[in-house]
Amino acid sequence: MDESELIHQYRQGDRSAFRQLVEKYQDSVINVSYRFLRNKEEAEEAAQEVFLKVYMSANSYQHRTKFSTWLFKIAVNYCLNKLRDKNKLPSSRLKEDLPAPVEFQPDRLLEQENLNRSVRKAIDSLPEQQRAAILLNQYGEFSYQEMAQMLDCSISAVESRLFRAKENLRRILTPSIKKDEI
Amino acid sequence: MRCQKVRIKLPALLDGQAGEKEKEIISHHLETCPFCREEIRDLSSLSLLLREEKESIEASPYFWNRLEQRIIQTETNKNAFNTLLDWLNRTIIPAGATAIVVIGLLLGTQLGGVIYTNIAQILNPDNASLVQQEVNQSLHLNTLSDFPQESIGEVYTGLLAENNLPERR
Repeated sequence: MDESELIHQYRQGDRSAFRQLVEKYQDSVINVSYRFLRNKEEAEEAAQEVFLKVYMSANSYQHRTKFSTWLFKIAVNYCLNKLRDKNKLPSSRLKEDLPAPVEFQPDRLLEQENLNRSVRKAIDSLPEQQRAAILLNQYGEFSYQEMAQMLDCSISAVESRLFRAKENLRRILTPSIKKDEI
Repeated sequence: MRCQKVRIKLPALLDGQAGEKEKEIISHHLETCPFCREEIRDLSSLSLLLREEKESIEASPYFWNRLEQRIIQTETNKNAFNTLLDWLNRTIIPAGATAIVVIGLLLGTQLGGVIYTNIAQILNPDNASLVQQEVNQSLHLNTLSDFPQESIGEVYTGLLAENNLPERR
């Protein structure tokens, strides 16, 4: 059965069709959630909540939107709300509030894990909209148009958020970028 | 195209999301602008760095089973709520509406009875003094009784008594 047929069946309340959709997208939803929440258990819990919501609101799904875009939009909103609830994420932050550039010790430069940790920390320090855009972009499977639908904004807003996010990240991670190039 | 406009489009160019015309304009600009060339080099290094930080995880083996349990639980709760709503729709709301109609009828009957009794008393020919009393009360003629004999108050009362009273049967 192809995806459109599965979606049709799921909208009729067919649980086995929904199961196939879940199995197709569960890892992607967990991984997108994991990028936002940085915790494996929370990411899986988020995916459970997202699929439950998708199942219960089958009637509100409109064919004009791609099913995966609708699904990930629900996931992104859930994760952003979760982060707001936990006060992990400030809703707006000025550039001046961003952390100072990260200095790397020469002997740790080759340690990929440390570098990854620094990248995660830098992403976590971004304002909410820039962070959401960069995380979806980093996931690497969405077009700008899909990202715009997920984030409820225009394509040019996605471009602008990504540009600003990368400018901020570059400023924070400049020492590592420069040393990485040497 | 100015540098700032080009720079905003650079992430789209690196992600392969820029349109053909945009690609052409940006490439032309990059050929002539060393600052934007440096910018795209830095952004490219950053993109590599971001791509490296891409830990991937998988769903636990019982992901669907857990989800199915939650779906069943939610549907059960929803059905219980819908049953309660149905019961309210079928009993409480009609009963409430009936009670409002009955109370309305009772109040209406009571009010109607009082008015009817008053009219009946006024129209009764044996109740001439009652009629006079009603008129005096409604026009506040009692206040004129303090005026001396043959004053304007007495004339006014006399005129009302002769000309304006309802015709007695």
